[in-house]
Amino acid sequence: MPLLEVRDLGVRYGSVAAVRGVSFTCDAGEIVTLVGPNGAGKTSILNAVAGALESARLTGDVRFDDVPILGDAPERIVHRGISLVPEGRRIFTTLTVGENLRLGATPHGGSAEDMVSVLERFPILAEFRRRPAGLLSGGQQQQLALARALLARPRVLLLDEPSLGLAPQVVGDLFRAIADLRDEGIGIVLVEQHARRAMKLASRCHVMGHGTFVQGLEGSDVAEVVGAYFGGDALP
Amino acid sequence: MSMLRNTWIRAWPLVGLVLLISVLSALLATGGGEVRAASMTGLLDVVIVIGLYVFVGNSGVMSFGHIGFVAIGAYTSALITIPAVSKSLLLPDLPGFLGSIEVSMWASFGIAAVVAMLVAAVLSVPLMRLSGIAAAIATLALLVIVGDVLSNYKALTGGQGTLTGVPTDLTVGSAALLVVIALAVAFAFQMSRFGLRLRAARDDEVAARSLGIAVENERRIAFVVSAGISGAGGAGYAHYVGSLAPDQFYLQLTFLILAMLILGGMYSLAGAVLGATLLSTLSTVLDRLEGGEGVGPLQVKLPANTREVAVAVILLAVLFLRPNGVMGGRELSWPRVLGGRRPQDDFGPPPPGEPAGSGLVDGDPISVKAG
Repeated sequence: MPLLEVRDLGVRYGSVAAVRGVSFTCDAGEIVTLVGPNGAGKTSILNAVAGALESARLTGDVRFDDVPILGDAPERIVHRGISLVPEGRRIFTTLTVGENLRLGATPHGGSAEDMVSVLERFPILAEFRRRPAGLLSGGQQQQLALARALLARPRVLLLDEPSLGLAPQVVGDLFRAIADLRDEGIGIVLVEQHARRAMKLASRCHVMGHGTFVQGLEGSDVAEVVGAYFGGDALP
Repeated sequence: MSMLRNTWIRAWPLVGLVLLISVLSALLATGGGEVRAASMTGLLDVVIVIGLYVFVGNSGVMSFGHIGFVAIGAYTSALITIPAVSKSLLLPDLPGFLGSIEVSMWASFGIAAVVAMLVAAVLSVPLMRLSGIAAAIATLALLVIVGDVLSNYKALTGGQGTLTGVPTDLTVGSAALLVVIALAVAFAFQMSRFGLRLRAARDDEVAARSLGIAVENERRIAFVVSAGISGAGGAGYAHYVGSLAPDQFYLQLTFLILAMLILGGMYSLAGAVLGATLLSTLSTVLDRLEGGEGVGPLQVKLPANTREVAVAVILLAVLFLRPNGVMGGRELSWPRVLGGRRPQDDFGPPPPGEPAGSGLVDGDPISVKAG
């Protein structure tokens, strides 16, 4: 039984159907990517899974550990073990780095050991913990957003365009960090416009268009498509 | 030694304000009767503005209903401190034990705060599901409802008439102590996990929810705490003026208190205190000049309603020129003359003059340790 199972998900904003009949799964220690053009419905899917869509009408079924979670309050979903790192990082710019991290703590995560572990992973955050988070660079803010989400000890991470607005070198480092998290057993659903990098990391990839999946790739197919479209040495 | 100093510096936004209020009150308490009366008005305004700040400042949600809690506190305190003999004459139909109960002024402050908190706890269930303009209108409705109940529940409040006989035993010292308690509660709240979560939701509600912050619950807690402070402020007011009427707690006071919060800056405790102090002083001075009483050497008679016009002009000027208020959302900072750096904590912006770090360029590599 998969850790996260999305079955026939639909998202409607009034009369507009943003997502139709989307199904996919994500297991521990794997990366599933959703790629596609702007407006395809990728962010709506992540927000629907995370419970962050208040005004939309949701249909279908989302199960985490075989428990239905679609429509649950976002805090309940976080406490179950799903954390969303939203598009644009959404860190609290007027609060300090330390305060942002404190906000990541939940009843199940955020102990002193968790904090030490996260700061070891992202040492720059320890150095800048007293600074307003708005003064960090884009890459550092992304680290903060990831660190904050990790403090809740998620079993599944939903990452929405984590590389948006970052310099190429920083994007490489970020994707290595994402691969590390996967290797530690966290399931990751990755929405990314850097399709080549995202597909290279993924064990499964879903290509979206107009609110639905138009193509699904698994295992060696992903590598084949990456090779065919982007060249064999696509990624370092 | 360094830990002790850090604790002091961390508590400075509170300690500084407490020192300021204490010194100011001690000086004003030595003045004549009129100065003492003006000081008490000012101190009670500070309490009420702090009450409003705890909710509005931390949540970013506007409330026009807090004067309703001030009224609830004032009437509660009056009903349990007016001597039983007087109550039997003034309010012969008073229900149950209220006719005979008599408590001390300080006990009535506590009870008034608790009653206001209970009312707020019940009302917060529907109200805190709203935000933005809907919340503002709903809280305005709360003010209207409280006003209507006070005006029409004759057996309990005496209706639209004036309820007299409240012991006027408030002193400048006890008003100052009430401010200090309100400051301590407000500061403890904003430094707590609840306050931090609420400020995060104020800055970015979507991000806060994605972290599992139950925004409505956090707002409810703040609403109840702020109603308690407002209720205690109302109780203090009752023991200062000695007589209460429903129209004392309506739109005029609501807008004056809001103007105080906006003037000082609604996102800091220091702003709330400063705004209340400045505008309360100005309001008292203009009130006296309107009445032809003069202030010291200034002996002019101003036209009626000059105070309202002046408050409106100041409010407009602040909103245009300094929308974040005089304090700009900042708390009192540790005086540099006392030396050195800020504490080794994670509250507040970095010290001025410290390098901004390498973090301002987007090309910085992410330093990731392999996990």
